[in-house]
Amino acid sequence: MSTATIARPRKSFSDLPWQLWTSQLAALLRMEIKKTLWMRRSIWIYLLAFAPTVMFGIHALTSPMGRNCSIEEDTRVLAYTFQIFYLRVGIFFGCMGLFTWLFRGEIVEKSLHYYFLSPMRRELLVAGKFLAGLITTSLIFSASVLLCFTFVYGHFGAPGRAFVFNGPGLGQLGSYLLVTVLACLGFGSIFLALSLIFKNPIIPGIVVLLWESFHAVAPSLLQKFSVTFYLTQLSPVTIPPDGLMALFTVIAEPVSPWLAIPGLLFLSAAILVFAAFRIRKTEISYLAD
Amino acid sequence: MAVYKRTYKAYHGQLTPAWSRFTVLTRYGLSTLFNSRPFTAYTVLCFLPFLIGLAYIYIVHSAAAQAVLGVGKTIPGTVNNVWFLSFLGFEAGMGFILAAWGGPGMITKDFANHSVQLYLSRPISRTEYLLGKVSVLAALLSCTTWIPALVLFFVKAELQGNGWLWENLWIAGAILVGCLIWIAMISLVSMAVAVWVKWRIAATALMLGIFFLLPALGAVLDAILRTQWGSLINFTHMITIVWAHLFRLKALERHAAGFDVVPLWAAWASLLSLCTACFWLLDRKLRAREVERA
Repeated sequence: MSTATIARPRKSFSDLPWQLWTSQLAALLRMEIKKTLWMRRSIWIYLLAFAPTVMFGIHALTSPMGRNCSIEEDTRVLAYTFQIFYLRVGIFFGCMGLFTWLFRGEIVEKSLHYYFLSPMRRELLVAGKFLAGLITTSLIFSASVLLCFTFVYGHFGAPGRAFVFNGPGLGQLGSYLLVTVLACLGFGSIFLALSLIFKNPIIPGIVVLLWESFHAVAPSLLQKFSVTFYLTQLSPVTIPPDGLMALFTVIAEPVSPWLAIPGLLFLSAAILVFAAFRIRKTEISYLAD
Repeated sequence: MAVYKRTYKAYHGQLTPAWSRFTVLTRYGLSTLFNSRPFTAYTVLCFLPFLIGLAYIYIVHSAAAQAVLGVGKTIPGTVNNVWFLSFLGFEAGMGFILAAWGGPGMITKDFANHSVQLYLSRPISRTEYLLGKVSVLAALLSCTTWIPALVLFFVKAELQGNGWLWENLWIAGAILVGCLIWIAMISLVSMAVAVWVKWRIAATALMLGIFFLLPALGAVLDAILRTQWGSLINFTHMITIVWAHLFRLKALERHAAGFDVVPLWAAWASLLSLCTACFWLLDRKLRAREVERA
């Protein structure tokens, strides 16, 4: 094989209009973040994300200096809230609403053809919209988790501060924030792809929700095809299953964070690549939804 | 005859009786739903638990079938009130997906195409319009919940004999009343979210949110504020509490299943509040006119 043959793809790669794509992506991001973060239509996502924060705020007010609770108890409650509310439904529904709206919303508002008519690659459109959704959901849910954490340990005073700064607190906060961003990434990519395949992506969304909720009863090999499985493994405090689910739960072998994080990233990348292929063949139909 | 010549000609055909006009909407609603092959397939799938239940009852009562299958005395459980409650719970879960899939689309399409006015300009009232749409869901959900459950009940009574039917006739009543409450609630919620958001995808998502998100929020509320009243927004749990009383579950069984977290009156109050809110929304939003903002 000659040197010219090897050099050709590298040359074409470097010849790609990266600068143009970057500026287009930046413009798209600016526009989409403004649309998703500050619109009146997005109020529901704030209500959804900050509902537990309000509850922790009330708890902090009614139990100053940890009068009716202990740090261990509240750590467990925070972990329970994070796993039962944020991971299972909060971030799930937030991503469902936001990432579905990225393309379906344009169809409802009959404005998708403006994007398609602009001199921009469709793959770039997918990437830009996905990044905007990811930034928005990550910002909102991370802020909410951070506030919850602050309320939980803030109302204990000095013991709370000691737990955070001299104990395992900061590490747990880091894990919570990392898992939040990864959850937005995983669920976001799934819903973006679903919105490009189905006219009503919520129906397959129900199947995803049921799978993510009840994956624990499936054989351990199948559990690895669930986003929640990896996220639960990465959560800093483990919450054992209770009630009827505990009877049927199959305890799967834990996955190392070094496998869980790249695994999730790979899964999301694969879904996004699929979405990018899908959008190339997408035809606009503004029939009443 | 050319269409323009018929423009102002009065209709001289047979009129549908006033009391049954809403059934026209029901008929067309059902045919529209079953135009979708995936929806039809899912509706057929909803009958699978019924077939399994039927086979189970038969095997429990047939020594020959037990011998052929080689299950003998190892076949678990008995067909009693708890069995019927579990069966209904499963069917209700499947029926929820049916309602979420088919329900909102029936109304949102009318709003999206501005055709509500066309319906209401005919001799049909808002109530009849709503009744026509709700009847679609009620018919579908009846076919997948209380009708199969009653068939199973009578099959069991026939196979058991010895006065089992008269001793347990209250179970049939519980099946009927329990399912009717559930169907009324799910249909109302489905219609109310549809007229509120007027977009099928959002309406389906909102329905999903009411029955999946609110329970999680209630559980978190219970955990953070150390209370039990967060369950009041878990409408699935509230209806299960009502069912548990209708099916005369023993106090110990109710406690084990967590059906005693709130008293029965609170469960009823929660369900009635949801239905009232749905009625209020429907009354407010389902109008023959609409003001559109520029």
